[in-house]
Amino acid sequence: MSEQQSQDDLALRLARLPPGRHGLPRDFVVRNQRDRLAAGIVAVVAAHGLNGTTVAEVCTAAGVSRRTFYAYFSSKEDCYLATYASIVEYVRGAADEAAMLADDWPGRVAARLRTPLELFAANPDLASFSLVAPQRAGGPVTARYRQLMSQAVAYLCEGMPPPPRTRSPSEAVAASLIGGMVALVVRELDDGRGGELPRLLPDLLELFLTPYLGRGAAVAAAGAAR
Amino acid sequence: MAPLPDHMQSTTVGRERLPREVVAGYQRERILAAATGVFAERGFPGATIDQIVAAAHVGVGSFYEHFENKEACFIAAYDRAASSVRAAVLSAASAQGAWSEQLVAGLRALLEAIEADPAAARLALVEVHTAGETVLAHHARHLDEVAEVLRAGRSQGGIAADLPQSLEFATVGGLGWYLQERIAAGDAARATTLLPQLLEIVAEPYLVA
Repeated sequence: MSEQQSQDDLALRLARLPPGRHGLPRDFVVRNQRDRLAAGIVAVVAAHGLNGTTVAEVCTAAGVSRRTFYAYFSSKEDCYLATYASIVEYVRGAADEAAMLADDWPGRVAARLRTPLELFAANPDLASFSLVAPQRAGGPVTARYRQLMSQAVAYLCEGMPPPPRTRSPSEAVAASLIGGMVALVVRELDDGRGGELPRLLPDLLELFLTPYLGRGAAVAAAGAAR
Repeated sequence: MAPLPDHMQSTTVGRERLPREVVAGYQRERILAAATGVFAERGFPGATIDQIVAAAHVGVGSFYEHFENKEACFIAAYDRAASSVRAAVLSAASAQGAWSEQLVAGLRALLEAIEADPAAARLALVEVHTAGETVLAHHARHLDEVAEVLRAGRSQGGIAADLPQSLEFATVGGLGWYLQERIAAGDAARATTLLPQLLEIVAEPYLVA
């Protein structure tokens, strides 16, 4: 599946199915009610943050009853975390596919950064939902977000050539690279420039690759992504 | 039993004898100290004004004499934490000559402040993210100020000018993220042991060839 197709697929899956009788198989309806709730919570949380979101608002946005909501999820946090997990899985899959086409490690890092930037630029609500809201929610949602961010370094470093071709920055530096990249993305989103996220790619690449490859190779990789 | 000498008698200084502003200032400080603990423990969404006034041993009315709402109280508690850290960092850094020494002294002062008051650190670096847009915009202005100070150091440190303009913003974001992780993991009480890591985070982008 091409990147464009998979983006369309996600957009479709997040689109609303009109409620009511439609003669669709039950499996599809179940899948669809869940997807509608997912689309609903993405839209509401992107607008108001998780703490400003109520189950009632999610239901209204999804066009389902509260009863239906509680058939799938025990709470808004539960709904958030399930939706978040499926978005992460989706983005990771798309990023992996894009990375397979690259022929070296810097190219794979570029692909794995470019994929979410493009996806989020096309769907700024997804970006707010996945990167902004979980930092600002507190509790188990923020804890889950911290966990994912700490896995992000290992993810980007997959397939990295061993030393001496690369260097090994400390865990602290690696964590701060992720934090710094997210801060740059969140600033764009907060300033209403979510649609222009892919423009960040060269800076993010240079920032991330410098401690691993040294300045010269990192600048070259950033230049190639411009 | 012999009577206590005059100077040891309990004084009759009541509220009415102290200037009103002194009482108000003392009470405000007491509320902020209590609020810092409550916010640090429960986060902004979980903290209530009732918990804050109970911890401060003041009435709800006194709370509203000083703060319009929970958010205003949070901002004041944040400013109380930030202004003391800021003063400590700037004074430590300005006592040094070379840029690298200023950096070490400033970061050490930051970590000492975190260690001295883990609740304030948790409020300003962790729970601040849960406190809503107004508070976050306030926090962002503080971070921008730190980024400016670092950027000004480029010329002093004889650092290449061709680094990305966004570097310092990313450094401050990364530093904040790292500290947030460590504090959330319960490391605030041993924050000063993190100085080597902080130096790496802040200085390495300038030094790596």
